[in-house]
Amino acid sequence: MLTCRDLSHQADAYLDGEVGLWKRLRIRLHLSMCDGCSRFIGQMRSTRSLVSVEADAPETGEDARIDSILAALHSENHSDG
Amino acid sequence: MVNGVAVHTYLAQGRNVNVIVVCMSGAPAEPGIALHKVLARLAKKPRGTIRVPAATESDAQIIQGLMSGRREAFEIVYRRHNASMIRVASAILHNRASAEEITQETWISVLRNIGGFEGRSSLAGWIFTILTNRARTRAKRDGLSVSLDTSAGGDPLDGAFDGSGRWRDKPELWDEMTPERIVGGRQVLDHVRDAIDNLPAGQRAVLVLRGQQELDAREVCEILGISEGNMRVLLHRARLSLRQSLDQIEN
Repeated sequence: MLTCRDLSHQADAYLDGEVGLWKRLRIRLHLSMCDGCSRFIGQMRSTRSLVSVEADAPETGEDARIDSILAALHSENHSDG
Repeated sequence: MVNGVAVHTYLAQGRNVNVIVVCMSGAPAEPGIALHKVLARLAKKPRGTIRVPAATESDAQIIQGLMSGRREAFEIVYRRHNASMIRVASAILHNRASAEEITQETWISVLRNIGGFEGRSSLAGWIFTILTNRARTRAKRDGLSVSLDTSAGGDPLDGAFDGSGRWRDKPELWDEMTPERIVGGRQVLDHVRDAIDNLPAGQRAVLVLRGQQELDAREVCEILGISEGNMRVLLHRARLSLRQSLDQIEN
């Protein structure tokens, strides 16, 4: 029988769609009967989504650093002269 | 191609895309983000808000732009990778200032050597390979351990279950855990950023490369020098750690 602990180990694979049909059905059955795991899977979904969103959050001061990288590149080129 | 008809994918410019418009037409599909990737991301995001990189240029176009010395091409690739590079470098060097230096040096190296890029890996994979090689050289010079600590961090759910494998404390329903929502005086997104920065090194590096930059599993393993099994465990633990951090800001 699939326990909550078992499900917690499978959460990533399940959310990535990498779990076989039979296992997926067992997980869904468990989720339909278990509040705790339903909420847990919901939390994992949100967490993964937030991680993706954070990846695209802009940094501050990007333009200045881009300028200084390009300047360093050009000054290296000149010194190779 | 879908059902024999070419599909145009139109993506709104900018970082916040609420609607993806997919048009059927007879014209060939434009290069850009692969449609299956967009759909895969949509499937994972229940609320239908999806962020896609502002640039729809493929690797090939970016590389062309970099080789031609076009600033816009560099801006695109910089914005895609810089923050992640600092994080991965800091996983090896344990020092943000050193990580920033190494990242800066890596960008210069990338721009100088782009002509020699043979496309045997993805562009991102190549960039991160240069980065981690430089970081390891610096670590050696500074007397640090060169290998990434991939064992750190136990199972965040250790002790969460009773003898029968059931939750000891049932997880709570998260109320509107959206990026911009203010909790504890700060945006959720800021909490997420801090939580990622505070992950153990190995978990952080894998989360960034696999969970954010979305490099292939094989490339991540080569770059970090870890097995695929090890990578899966670290990724899972990273996500569990973050879930736990976010759970705690609510309460």
